[in-house]
Amino acid sequence: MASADGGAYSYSLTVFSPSGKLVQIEHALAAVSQGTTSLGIKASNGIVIATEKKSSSILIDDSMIEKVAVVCPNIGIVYSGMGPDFRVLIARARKSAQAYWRVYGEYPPTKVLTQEIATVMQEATQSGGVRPFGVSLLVAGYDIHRGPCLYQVDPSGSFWAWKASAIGKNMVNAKTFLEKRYNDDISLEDAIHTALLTLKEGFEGQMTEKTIEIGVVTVPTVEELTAGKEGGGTGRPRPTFRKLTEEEVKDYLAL
Amino acid sequence: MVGKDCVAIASDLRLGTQALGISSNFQRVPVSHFSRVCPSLTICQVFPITDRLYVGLPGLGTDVTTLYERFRYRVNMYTIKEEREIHPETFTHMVSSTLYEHRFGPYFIEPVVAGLSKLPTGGLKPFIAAMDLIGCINFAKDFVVAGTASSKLYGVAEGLWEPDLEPEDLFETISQTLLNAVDRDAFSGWGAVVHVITKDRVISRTLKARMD
Amino acid sequence: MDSIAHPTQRQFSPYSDNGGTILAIAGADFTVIAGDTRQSEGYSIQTRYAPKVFPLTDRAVLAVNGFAADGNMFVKKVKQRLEWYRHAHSKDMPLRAIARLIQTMLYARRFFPFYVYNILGGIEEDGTGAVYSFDPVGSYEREACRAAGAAQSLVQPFLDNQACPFIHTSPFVVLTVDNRDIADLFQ
Repeated sequence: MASADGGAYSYSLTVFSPSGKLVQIEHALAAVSQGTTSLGIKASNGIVIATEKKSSSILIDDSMIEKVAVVCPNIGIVYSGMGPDFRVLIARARKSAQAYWRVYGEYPPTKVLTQEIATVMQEATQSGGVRPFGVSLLVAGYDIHRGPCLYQVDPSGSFWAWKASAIGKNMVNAKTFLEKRYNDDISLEDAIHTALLTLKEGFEGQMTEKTIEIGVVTVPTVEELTAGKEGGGTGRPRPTFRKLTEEEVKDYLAL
Repeated sequence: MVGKDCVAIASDLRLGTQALGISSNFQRVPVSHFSRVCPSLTICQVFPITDRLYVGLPGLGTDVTTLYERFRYRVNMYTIKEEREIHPETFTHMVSSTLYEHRFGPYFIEPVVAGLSKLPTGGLKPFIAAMDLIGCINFAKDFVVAGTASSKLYGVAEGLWEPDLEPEDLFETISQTLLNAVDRDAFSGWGAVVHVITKDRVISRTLKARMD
Repeated sequence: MDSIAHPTQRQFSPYSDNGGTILAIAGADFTVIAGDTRQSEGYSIQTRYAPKVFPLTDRAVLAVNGFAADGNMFVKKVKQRLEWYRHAHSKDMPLRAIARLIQTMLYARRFFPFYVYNILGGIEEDGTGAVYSFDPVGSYEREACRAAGAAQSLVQPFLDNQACPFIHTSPFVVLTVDNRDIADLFQ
């Protein structure tokens, strides 16, 4: 059993406790729930993922902090938990996306990339000499096969598709809030506002364009898809995932 | 060859080492599933990958078999992992990268891909492509050729092909192109097979050819 | 300093390939014979107008492809022989005789050949259109159509198809037909 100090099964090796738990993974989840809140909402015409970025000191240059990361033109990820672990995972995800491009001439579908990342995270629960990743991820992306998709990946390596989800410090409240606010035909604009409202619920301090990060997936029109396929110049489709600029975040906060 | 809402892929049936003919029916699988095409020991086989996608593998016989098995493996893995059928464009890139993996010790195969690809609008668009033996892709809008008779095929195809051929006319065009080209090639011939891929059916025909 | 004189080897290559393509098609009572006019060496174009199709008599035209210098000299020699023939016989040499003459002239140089592929087109004495093709040492044959030169492999099968379809399988015969719905094909 997991006691306050982790008990006998809390060493670096991820070993089953007699009750069938992997205490190291539970510790990793604990690390996640200490992280800042992040959330994602799937709208009828896109997806929004958002997070608060809090720096421990006003002396830190927060323009350097990036919590919503672009993996490839159609996929972005936000996390809650340990920044360094996220950085490593993002590097792996980007490599994986480029390897996929090299073989198939197109970027991976959201599910395939998510699976790939989840596999990396799972390996950390079963390999010697490593610890589980201390992050949960929200993966948002668009692909022509499944359309817009939002996945959550946990330190255990398990992942699910969500219509809306929240991770991190305030996840329980945020999820309750989202359950109340969500409906199936919410528009992307409304979803962005809902995301901001949800973050506001547990926000400490002032919500500004400096302390919020937002990424959006937009569903391309048939014309845009056709143009991307025909290859206007580069032969690459227009990005369907992008991060909102500080100006854009500011505008949404003002509304 | 590209037609109006259809594509055709064709090949001869000869298996031979240079001037020595070995088999005029190099076929290990029923035509409905596999049929073979063209051009050491050279042959060409045409294989179905999905119901609207075929690949022709002209070249060294042992590499035809090996590569086809590789592609079968990779396409099956793709289909399971991605839970969808592979598109012609994607398959072409897969073939290309497989070949380029062996840049400095290549498979002696110059693949030809023909199929119908899905448009974002839901329609189908004819797709053809050919590659050299290290995977450099040629996305052509009209026709592609490969194998020992390639220059002959170019000449006839350049003269006979025209845009927007209906399936039956495309069949006539690709058949005439293939037969007349292989009849001037000492390393090709001994029968031929043609597949015309349309929206809702694949028409496969075996042709009588000169056997000399 | 190395004061010893080393032997040096020098080479002269008497031939080159000047590219281009020629072709001829025989009809019932006519012949079409043509050639491009580009003369090149390797990837360089020497001139865009160097004809390689030459009228010999009112009923004979000779196209020469291969090494341009040999071609020009060969045509000159053929023309000279035809003129001698006119002086001796007071008429033009018939087409099939010209063909035999060309064979003789080519084979005379069996061990230092004219590097030239000849196609002779014209009207026979019986009024039929005729095409004769030659290899550089004089093997020749009367044919319905012939292409020679850089694009021979592209043009010849096309001519077979368009100009002399009777010698090939056309209309071809379909042996088996497998015409099934995709649903059946893959069960």
